[in-house]
Amino acid sequence: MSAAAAALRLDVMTVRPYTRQLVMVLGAMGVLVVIGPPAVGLMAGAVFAAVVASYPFAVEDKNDLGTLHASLPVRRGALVLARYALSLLTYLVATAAATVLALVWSTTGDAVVTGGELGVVAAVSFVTYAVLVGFQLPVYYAVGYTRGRLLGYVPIMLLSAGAGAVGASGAVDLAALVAPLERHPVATAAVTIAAGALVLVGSALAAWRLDRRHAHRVSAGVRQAA
Amino acid sequence: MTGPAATAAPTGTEPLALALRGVTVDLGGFALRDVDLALPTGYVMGLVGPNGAGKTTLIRTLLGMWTASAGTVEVLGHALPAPVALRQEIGIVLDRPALVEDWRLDDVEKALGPFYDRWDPGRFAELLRAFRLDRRARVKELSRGMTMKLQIAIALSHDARLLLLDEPTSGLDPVARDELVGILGDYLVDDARSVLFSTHITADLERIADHLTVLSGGRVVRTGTRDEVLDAYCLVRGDGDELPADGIVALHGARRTAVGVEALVATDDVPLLGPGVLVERPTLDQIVVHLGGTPPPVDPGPPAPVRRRGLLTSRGRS
Repeated sequence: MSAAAAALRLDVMTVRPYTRQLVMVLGAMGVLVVIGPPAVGLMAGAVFAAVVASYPFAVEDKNDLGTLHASLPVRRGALVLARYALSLLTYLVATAAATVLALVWSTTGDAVVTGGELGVVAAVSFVTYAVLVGFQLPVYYAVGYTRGRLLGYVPIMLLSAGAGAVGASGAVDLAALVAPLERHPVATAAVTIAAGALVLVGSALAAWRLDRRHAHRVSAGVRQAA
Repeated sequence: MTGPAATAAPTGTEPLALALRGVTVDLGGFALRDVDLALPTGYVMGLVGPNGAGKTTLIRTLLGMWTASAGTVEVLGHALPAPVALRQEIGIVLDRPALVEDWRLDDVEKALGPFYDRWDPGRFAELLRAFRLDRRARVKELSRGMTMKLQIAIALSHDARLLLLDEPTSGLDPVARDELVGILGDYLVDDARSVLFSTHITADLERIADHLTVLSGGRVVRTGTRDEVLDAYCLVRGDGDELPADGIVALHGARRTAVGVEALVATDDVPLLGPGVLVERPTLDQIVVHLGGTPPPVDPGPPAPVRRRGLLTSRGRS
């Protein structure tokens, strides 16, 4: 097994004891799909995946896994890559589940969901996920989970507050905003996926650099001078 | 007159499992300074010193977690920073295991085994049986002795050539400590294997250590073979007139009471003492007690360079 695959497996094993909590989080997402517009469930998937992205860091802090990571024969870059891969997998699983649930639920009531609508929301959801995780993970790598968790949740809180305010005020015509995107679904998907991927790659590179600084204690002066 | 001094690291041709030469690790609030020690392959080195002497810092430096600002660190022939692959050869045993506490022992193998090229599932299973560890137990349910055994089982299952043990017997009862010493003895039957064992419980080292290093205040007070370290000092007792504080013989960790003085002196200085002074060979414990409280004399050295404040400047010792 490659080091990257082993690192991904390690992260999966790290959060596995807490699967029950993750299932509860996904269940809450499912409730949103059912009680709200089905397409909103996909956006909830992005938010919840961003929340769940913090779990490996929380477990790492609690159990001094930093020492474990430093002793394992694996580069720190592989560990960072694995952490992002796990987060992305979590998002994809959550989004897939929300999509299936949304489609099934739409057949039972009046809230018909079209494929185009779902596609647009999924694309926007991916960008949203990328921005939330793209901000959050480097913060954790920079200062650790315990010190960074409040700061890491700021984008999620702002997004939730903003979405709530917009929805409540009715000031924004979402249908008018979405219509142009639905007319060009392929282009919309391509642009949003590329944008989201770019954000995640940039975030991963920043996280890698921050993790290296966090992991290696270098005495001032002599080493830098050398 | 001689003072406490570190014996220079061996410079012979025998292969070394560990070699530190002039190593300084500055963590802000604490520093290892001018550390010189060497462990030949196939032997056990005991690293002793009082709490806060720098034992854990030294082990973390060997793991590459801290970087030396001066000197060289060599582990199994590789200068640090070494290739990541070197960690295949190193097993660590910490006083608290760095494992997810909710993992079952099966999960430990699933999580860690894939990282090691020489991981032997059969060996891991055999060791768990030999150590009477239940695969279904969770890490948090294990006693201290059991967690030590688990970490040793992990290290032996990937055929580590070097074991680094940081206070492994701390908190263990005498039976568990005796068991651990026995396990290490079996491990060392293969003379390609070596052990660094840090502890403040010197009784364990008297049974198993071939080499000793005494640390105090981040500095090496004495290093060498066990006999060299034990022969380097004598425990002396006498009255205040026979053992004055400002006499020509340096007294290390002198304890002055109403009935007399007890101190450690360099063996070479014993002939300079008066006839009424009682002289006896110290135990390792007595050496640590008397030397551990008095950091060795140091040169002022060059002024410390200006620290560059980064986002993650370290502020404490580990």
